[in-house]
Order: sequence, then structure tokens, then C-alpha cells
Amino acid sequence: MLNKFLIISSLFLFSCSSYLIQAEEIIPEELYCASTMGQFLKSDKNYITTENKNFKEKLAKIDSNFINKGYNLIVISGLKPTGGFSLKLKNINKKKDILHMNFIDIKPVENSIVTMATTYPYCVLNIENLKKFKISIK
Amino acid sequence: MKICTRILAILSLPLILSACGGGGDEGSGGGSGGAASYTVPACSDTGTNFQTDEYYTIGSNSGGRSNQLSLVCASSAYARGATGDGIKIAIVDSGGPWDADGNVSNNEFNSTASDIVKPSNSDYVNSDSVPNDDNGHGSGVACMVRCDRGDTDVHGIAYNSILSFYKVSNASGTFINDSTMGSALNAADSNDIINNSWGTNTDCTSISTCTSAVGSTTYAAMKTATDTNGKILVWAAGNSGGANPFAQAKSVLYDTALQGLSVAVVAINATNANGSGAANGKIWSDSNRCGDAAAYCIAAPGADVTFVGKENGQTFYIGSGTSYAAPLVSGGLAIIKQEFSSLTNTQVVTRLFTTALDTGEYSQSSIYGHGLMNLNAATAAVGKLRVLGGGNLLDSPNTSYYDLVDNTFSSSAAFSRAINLALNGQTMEIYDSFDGANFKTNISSFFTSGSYTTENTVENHMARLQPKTKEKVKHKNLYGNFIMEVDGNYVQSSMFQSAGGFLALGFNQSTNSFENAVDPLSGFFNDSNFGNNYLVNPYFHAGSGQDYFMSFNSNSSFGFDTFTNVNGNDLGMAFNLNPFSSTSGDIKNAGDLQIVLGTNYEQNKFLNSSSTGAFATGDMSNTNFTGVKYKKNLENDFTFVGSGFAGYTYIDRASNSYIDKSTPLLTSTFTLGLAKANFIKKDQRIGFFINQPQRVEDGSLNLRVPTSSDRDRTVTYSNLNVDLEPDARQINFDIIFHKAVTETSNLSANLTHVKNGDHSNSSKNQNFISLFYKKTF
Repeated sequence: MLNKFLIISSLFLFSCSSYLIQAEEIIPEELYCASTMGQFLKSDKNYITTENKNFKEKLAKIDSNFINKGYNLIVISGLKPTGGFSLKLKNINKKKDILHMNFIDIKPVENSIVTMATTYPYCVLNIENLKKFKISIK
Repeated sequence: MKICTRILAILSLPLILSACGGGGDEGSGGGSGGAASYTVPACSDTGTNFQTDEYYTIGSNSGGRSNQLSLVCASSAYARGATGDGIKIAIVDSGGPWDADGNVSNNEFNSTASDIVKPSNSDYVNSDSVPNDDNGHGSGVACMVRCDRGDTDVHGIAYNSILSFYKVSNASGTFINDSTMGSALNAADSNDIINNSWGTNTDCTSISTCTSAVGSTTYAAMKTATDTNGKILVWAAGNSGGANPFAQAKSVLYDTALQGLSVAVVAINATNANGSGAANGKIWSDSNRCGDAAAYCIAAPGADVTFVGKENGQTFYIGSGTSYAAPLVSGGLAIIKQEFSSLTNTQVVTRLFTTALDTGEYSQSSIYGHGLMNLNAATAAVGKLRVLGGGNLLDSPNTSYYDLVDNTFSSSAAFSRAINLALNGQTMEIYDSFDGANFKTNISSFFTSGSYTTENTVENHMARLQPKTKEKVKHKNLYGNFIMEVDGNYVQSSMFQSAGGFLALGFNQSTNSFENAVDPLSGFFNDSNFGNNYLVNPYFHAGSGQDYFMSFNSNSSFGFDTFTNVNGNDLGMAFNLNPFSSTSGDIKNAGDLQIVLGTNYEQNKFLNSSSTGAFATGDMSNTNFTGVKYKKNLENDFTFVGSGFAGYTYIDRASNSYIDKSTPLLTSTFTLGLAKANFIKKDQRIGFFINQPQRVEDGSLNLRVPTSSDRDRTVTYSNLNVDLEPDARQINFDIIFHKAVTETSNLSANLTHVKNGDHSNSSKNQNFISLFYKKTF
């Protein structure tokens, strides 16, 4: 009985470690994070890919120079009341067909001077073969 | 204790508002130098020529309609020429429209390079002189003030102002430290208005806590800007939706050194944000409210407004923030400051607050402070417009003002044409009783022109030919003759002539013997001015309705005429050589010559041109004149009449009058006439007359009018020399025919041609042909 339990447990553990080994960290080929004052990044989703028909338009609105840089993903933090907010990429992990992206919302330092305009912090990224993956952003 | 202070502050708020005049449509404000009552015009956006697609931000690539300019009625200011031209605004922010090499890289700021300034060492982030914008916020804020106008997309509120950029934050929006920020603000003091669309999201409740929240160096720089240098600080109120502005904007509440020159700005919605483009105008949900600082606070569009990004001017954003409301107010202040060069910066701010729209929604001072910026009212008169009474210090207790209506000049037709030409396009300043704001007005608006031709109507022309209908009452006794002409119960004229002709007294009737002698001869005319003025002394300005004449005729060689009118402001005397007309005698073909020397004094007028207020003339303008009158009966029933007058008029200057100096005015008049009785048939008469009405031949006057004023409240006058000689000579040609058809009927015909009416070469010639037949049943 004990032997059976050990065998099953070791199989389970082996299975888990096999899975962890499959999670691969992805480094984007291009990454730029900043914020914009325009409401055009107001969106229900927190990211936009090239599959979105307005992708190029929005990318150009952020910065027309971005068009030729191969970005294929815009990650949006959402409306912030002032300047001083930013978005920072923590990591991207590929697990099977899902890209798990972890971003950090950075708030302005307390009592720091900020601009008094609403902002939309964003990051633009170029990730190889992005279309092959589903995206999960936290 | 803190709670107690706040309660006191809230309770005192209405008093503060009242004292500052920021309450109602009518009220009393603190304007110096005169009456303080005022009425605030509505926010009417009436400058239709300026309401372009750019104005409504619906030009190419702009993204949709915002009402950021129309909500504050900017077009009305533009229509008055107020665009912020030449006023310097500092944009203390993330930089301006340059690339890293210092080349203008944003098309929205490239129309007038000299208006977009990068001061030396103005990049406080990188310690260089190229304050390029890595973030975009500075460009957006600057666009609200001065995006170029005329490139079909969007333009700023004060599109002719001068922007200087001071870069104090980097690409990520991180600002420089307190010490460097203080330096940047000190440098920005070289501008008139300093826009600050940034702040610390903290409250403060006293000078010490505000200083702590703002930073001691920055706070000191703020005070230097206002208290030492008299510059205007404009602050975004903050975006936390709080009841009060954040610390930088709220400091003004506690520190008198900031008061009067610091403005906190809350943001309202420019649109309904539903895509319709309709105006909303209510407080933006995330905007801080004016709260305790209401007396120093105003509202402007800041949510759903359109502005340009940091890039090449082709990218426009719709965004929100008190960041955008503040530059609209900075631009509004620039517009007021440009429009009124006489206002100090403190008065500019007071006018901004006083004229804000504060009715309805905007009457909630805890939210909107003074209300919504209203550039229509801010650039209009809110008090009475007044004319300066000759001094040059707007606020001096010794300075006097006239109400507009009390300044008039009614010019004689002898020079009205000349004065019209001279005053065409000439302006002078008048001043708002509220604050001494200087307005331009056409000098000609105070002038009315006399005219010889306006009475040349068909009706009057016909009336000339009508036989006199007034009843003449004649009485003769031992002492002389008395003739009275009455119209109903109204005595129109009367004359008494003593026996022997020594004394003649006339009421509305000349007593000059020559004029009365030729009157029957010329009797073609009825008693209209047009006819009688052919032969009378033009320097006796009859026609007041109660004119008094008196003549002394010592003998047949000389005599005196005197004249005065009902007001007693005319006193004329003339010495006549050979005053008697021999036509009253039996000597046929005898010539009759009268030579006149005389003078006429006019009180507060000259050449019958009256004036009041700032254009008043003195008590004793006088004209010395001479004239020749000649009549000769020729053979074959011809009679020649002629008269000519010339005079020199000396204008008496009134103290502080805008009519400053003058040269003597030489004037002339002449009439020539030839009449024939028994023309072709008996009882037919014909007459031909040529006449030049009184005209200035030489002379000028100097108008000294206020034309500019400075922020030190002094007024500068300019001289305008007005040559009073008209550009043409009016000549009247008259042919008159008269026939007595029967004893009870007669026929009159008249052809009149008037060339260069009112001595103007641009007047159309006038021609009248009339026939008049009268039969008495």
C-alpha cells in the first residue's frame, strides 16, 4: 500500500516538474513604455494586437515613428487622473499557447509633482509569432 | 482650531466674492479711478467670422468637435481684435515643439517663429537651451494657448501670443526638484503670465503647510513672481475630484503675497462626450473644485478638449484635465491684457474674475469660483464708457471724466467735409468706469456734420416757391413803422423802424437796410433758409428761433448792426458804410454799395459749430469779418445784386479741451444775382443766382486726443492736425421764373443745380426742377 502511494506520488511530482519546465520566459524583441494623454487608448480590453483593425491607427497616434518598428502589441493600463503613472513589464511567460504577461502599474511617488492631465500609460511590444498565442495580461 | 478656521473661511466667502465683484450680473467692484458699478454682458459668442472649423476643432485630422473656445465666447474677443497678440506666456512644463537639435518639429507652432521661444538654459531637465518635449504634455498645454490658426485643423485660444517654454519634466513625467523648479519659475518671470499645469496632489491649510507641500524654493519663486515682479500665475486646480484645489493653487488663499495675481482653474466638460459634439459645460467629475479658494478661482473647459500631440502637428488628441483648462485661462488673460493696455496685471485678473459667467450652474461658487470664463464680457465695457477730461493719469483724484453723451461737436457745413475726411479712421481712447480699461472709438463718432444740402429735399424745394401765407400786421404812427408777421398765435418775426430810420429793432428779422431792401427784389423766394441765406450776413448766425437784431443808422453814410440770439451766446456787431439802399428812393439805375466791417463773438462755439465736453471751446471765439454788398438797377428792368463776405475766426481754447490749438480760420461766402422784371411779358420775372455758401478757405485746428495708455495708468495724447479747408467748393445755380397769371393765380418755376454739395468733391450734383401753380378761390 505504501509502495503504491510512493509510486503515484512520484508520478504526480514528476508530472508537475515536467510542466514547470515547459513555461518559457519570452523576451520581446521591442519594448517601449510611456503614457499618452489621448483618449484614443480608452478601451475595454487592456491590450490591442495587430488583429485589431484600429491597431495601426492607434499606434500611429501614440507616435508615428512606431509604425516601422514592428510593434504588434499595445498594452494599456487604463485611465489615470494625472501624469506620473506608468506601466512596466515584469515578465512574459509562454505556457503552451498562452503568453502570460505580467505588468506593474507604477503610481507617482506620494506628494510628487505631476501633470494635471489624464493619462493612459501603455507599453508597445514586438513579440515574435504573437499571433500563435493567446494573451493573458495581469 | 483648524475646523473653526475653515468655518470662518466658508462664512466669509460670500463677503469676499461680493467685495471682489465676482457675484452677479450687476454689482460693484473695486475698479480704481472712478465709479465701481458694473453690468456684465452675457457670454455671447458673436464673432461669426472667426467661427471656423478650427475654432470648433473639427478641422482636418482633429478628431471631433470640442467647444473649448465657443464655451468661453472667444470669437467675440477676436472680433474686437483681441487675440493675445504680443503677450508673453510662459509654459512651465515638459517642453515645447522642438526636436533635440532645436528645430521646430511640430507644425502647429511654426507659423511665426519669433512667437515660439526657447530661452537660454530653459531645459532644466537636461541643463541645456533646447526645451524639447519628450513627454507631450507641454505641447498639448501649449496648443490650448497657441496652436497655429489658419492651417485648417485646431487653433489655440490666444493664437497670437508669445510662448516661452521652460522644461521641468522628462519623458516619463518626472519633475525636477524643488530647487531647480524655483529657478525655472524665476526665469519664467520674464513673461507676463506663467502657466502651471502641474502640481502636488496634496491639500494645505496655511502658509506653512502650503510651503511645505509646494517646496520652499518653489513657493518663494511663486511669491517673487507675484509680489515682487507683478506677474500672473495660473494654476491647474488638480484632478482628484476634491473639494479644494491642490496646494500650489490653494496657497493663494492664505498668502496675501500671492493674492490678486494668482488664478486657480477648474475644468468643465467641453462636450457631452457622446460623440455628438454638444456642449456640456458642467464640472468635470475628476476636477478639483474651487472650494475655499473660490475668490481666486475660475472655470474653463478642460475635459474632452482637443489638442495636439508632441509630434508633427498632424496628431490631435482628445483628452481631459485641469491641465488644459489652465492654459485656456492663461490665454484668456493674454487676450484681456492685449485688449486693454491700461490695465495692470492685477486689474487684468480682476476683470477676468468679474466678467465670468456666474449665473445658473455657474452660480455655485464652491464649485466654479467666479464662474465660467467669459471673454465676450471680459473684452467689453462693464461700467460706463467715459471720456477723459484732459488729464493723463487715469487714477488721479484730479482727473475728471465725461459721460460719452456729453461730448459732442456739431460742425458747420463750412468745414464739415474737411473734418470728416480728416477724422476718417482716426481713433481715440475712452475708458471703462469700472477699471479704466481703455477702448478705442472713432473720433468721428462724437462729430455730427452740418450740411447745406440735406434740406434740399423736393418738399423743401417746392416750399420755396409757395407764396407766403403768414399774416403780416402793419402799424404806423408818429414814431415809426411796426410790422409783425404772425402764424396763428405765434409771432414769427417783427420789426420796428423808427421814424427817420435811425433805429431798427428786429425779432427774427434782419434790420440791415440793404438786406431788407433787396429782399423784395429777390422776392422770388419764400422765407426758407436756402433762399434768404443768399444775401444776409453769414456771420450773424440767425435761426435760433429767437434772434434779435438792432441797427443804428446815423445818416446815409454809415450805421451799426447788432445781433444776438436767445441763448446770448452770439454777439455780433457790424459797421456799415453807406448802409442805405437807394432802391427805396426814386433814383433809377443808381448803384448801391454797402461795405461791412464787423465782429461776432460766440460762446462755446465758433462759426456756429457748437461743442461740449472734451471737445468744448472757450467762452469767446470771435470772427472778424468784412463784406461788400452791391446792388445796381440796370436798364431794361435788370437788377444786379451781389454780396461777398470774408472773415477770420479765432477759436478760443477751453482748458483741457481736446481742441488744442488752431490757426485762424479764413472763411468766404459770395452771391451774384441778376433779375429781370417784365421778362418777355409784363408780370413775368426771371432771376439767375450763383451762390457759394460759407466755406473755410484756410485754417486748421489741432485735436489732441488720448490714443494710448500704459499699465502705469498714464495716458498718452496724440496730435491730429485737421486742415479745415474742404476739398471742393459748393456752388448753387438757381434760375427762377415767376408769372402772375391773373390777380388770383400765379405760376412759379425753378431750376436749381447744386455742384459739390457741402464743399465735397464726392457729392453727387443735385438738380431740381419744379413748377408751382397757385390759384386762390
